[in-house]
Amino acid sequence: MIYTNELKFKYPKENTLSFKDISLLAGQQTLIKGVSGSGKTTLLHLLSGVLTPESGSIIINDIHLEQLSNQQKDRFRAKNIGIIFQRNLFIKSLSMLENMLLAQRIAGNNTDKEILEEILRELDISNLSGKIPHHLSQGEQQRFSIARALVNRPKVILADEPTSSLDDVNCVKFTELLKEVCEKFRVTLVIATHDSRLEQAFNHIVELNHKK
Amino acid sequence: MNLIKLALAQLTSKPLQSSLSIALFALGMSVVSVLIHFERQVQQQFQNNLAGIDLVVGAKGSPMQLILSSVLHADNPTGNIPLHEAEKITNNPMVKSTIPIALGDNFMGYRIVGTTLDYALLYSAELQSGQWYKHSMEVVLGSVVAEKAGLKTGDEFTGVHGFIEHGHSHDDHPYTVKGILKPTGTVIDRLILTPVESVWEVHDETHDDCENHHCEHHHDHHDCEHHDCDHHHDHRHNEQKSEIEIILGKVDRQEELSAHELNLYNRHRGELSISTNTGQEITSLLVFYNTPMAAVMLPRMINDNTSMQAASPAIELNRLMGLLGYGMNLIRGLAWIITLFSGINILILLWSSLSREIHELALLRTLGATKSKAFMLLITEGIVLATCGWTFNIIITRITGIIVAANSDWISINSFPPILKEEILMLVYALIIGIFAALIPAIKAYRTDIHYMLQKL
Repeated sequence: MIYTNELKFKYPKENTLSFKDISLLAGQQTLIKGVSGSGKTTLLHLLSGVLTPESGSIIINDIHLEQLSNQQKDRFRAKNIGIIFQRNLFIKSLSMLENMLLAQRIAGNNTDKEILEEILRELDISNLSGKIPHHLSQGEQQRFSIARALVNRPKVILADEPTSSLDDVNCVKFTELLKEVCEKFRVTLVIATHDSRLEQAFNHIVELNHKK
Repeated sequence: MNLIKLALAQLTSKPLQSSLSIALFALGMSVVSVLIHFERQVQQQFQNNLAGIDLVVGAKGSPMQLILSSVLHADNPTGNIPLHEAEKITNNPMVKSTIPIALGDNFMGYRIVGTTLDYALLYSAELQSGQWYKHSMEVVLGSVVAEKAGLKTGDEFTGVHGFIEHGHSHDDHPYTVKGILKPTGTVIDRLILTPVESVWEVHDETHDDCENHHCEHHHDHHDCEHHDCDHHHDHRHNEQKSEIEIILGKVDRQEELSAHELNLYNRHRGELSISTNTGQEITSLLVFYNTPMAAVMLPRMINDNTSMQAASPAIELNRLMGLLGYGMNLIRGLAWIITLFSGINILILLWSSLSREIHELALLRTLGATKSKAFMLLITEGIVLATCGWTFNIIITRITGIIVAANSDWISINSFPPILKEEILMLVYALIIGIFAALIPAIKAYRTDIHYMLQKL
């Protein structure tokens, strides 16, 4: 489902980061572990097409990501990849429902309220969809983050340090929920984190420990 | 479509800043817009009031004053001209027709104009009620006069001497309202028309009065012809009368006269001679040419060879508009500067909110919005602000129009004008300013590195 090969990336004026090859199966739930600065976020951004690799190849769902133009990558990301950020990001002038619909529209999909309702029901946040981001708790916002990552029926969800601001109880709750919905909607899940609390919940762990 | 919705949501989430930007933008444009309307309407009004009058002949003085007083009825007359002189012009072969204008009195500030019915015809005025005047002391009222004065046909009223509402009233010469005109949108709406003979009849007595006081010289002295002659002058008349008597005594005794006295004496003699051949007078004569040649020949003929002056309404009004235009250009320039600054204000608004909400942009981009979409979002916000500004400008202009129309006295303004071609052009300018103001923030949005932005979270 997701393969990388000889992946290298170079920031301007810095050393080249090289990543070890990874290969993930469809539906697999994977933890990418590494200390800060090991390139976890860089890898996620490479996988999502936000960054372009210096060399090497990324194949997601049989598509060579490095061969796509920037615009094609934007479209590919919108259709195939759901992203959960470290912090909860929403357009604060729009209601949660509008935020969700916006994600669908940007992906060029017709707004599909049925799937949206199903997702919100699954995450137990249907009754909150009329509110604006500002009026929700962190936990509620995080559920909407998951919901938004799912609205376009992506193949993959990439999550970048999603639990760093959560306490132990919420960390477990969140991880369980995320794993559950990804299983239900048959989405491959990749979490990049340095949070060791997550290790026990995942069978497949990729360790990034190279230092430049 | 969703771009516009998103842009609107972004702007309405900061209502204060957005509305300030819009208000400032609208204000600048409104000034420009109001000026355009004002200029347009004044010009139109002038054009309507000119009604094809080729030349105005009146007493010597300022040609613009002559036009203002006899055509627009907005100034005091230059003086009077003898009817027999005027008749010579009427009989000139280059002249197709003429209309006499005799001013002198007003009623509630509305001028009583002694003229022929051709004058009403000139403005294609039609009767709303009653009938045209046939005899002296009968009047036809303009629509505004009838409405403001509350007069109906059959009512009687007396004129007040001069052109201000309060003054000596000719109580023993009441006018009878014979008819009321339909609104025409021209100066005639604010006039009271009567036969020339009425004006003569009302002032004949004043004449006699004046003659007793040696008032006649005022006819020579432009600043106080007989219609302006009010009671204050009596003192001066008496002084001068006694002075003249002294001078006359000296002349009788063949004594030496000082320069001042000689001057007075000559003037007095001149007046006597004029008063002897004074027939009836009118204030001015509206002239229509028979041939284009007349435009070249007639004014020079009159100005050079008679004691009268001829002024072309078209030339004088162009001059007037030119003078007004200078001031208006200045205000217009200021208004464009305001508009420009409000454009900069929009730039600052967009830039600062983009800086504050850069993570929202990063979000949109990671959700799959292309760079050009991010660019267009900012441009759309600029366009939305500019369009709102323009719309408010149109509303402000219309409200101003209604207020001005309700308060203007000598110019009738269309209170709800249609959207002018210039205003459509202003929309184009507004959009250009909006787009330019949004351009720099939009470029910033376009260039934003989402990877970098997301790492800064």
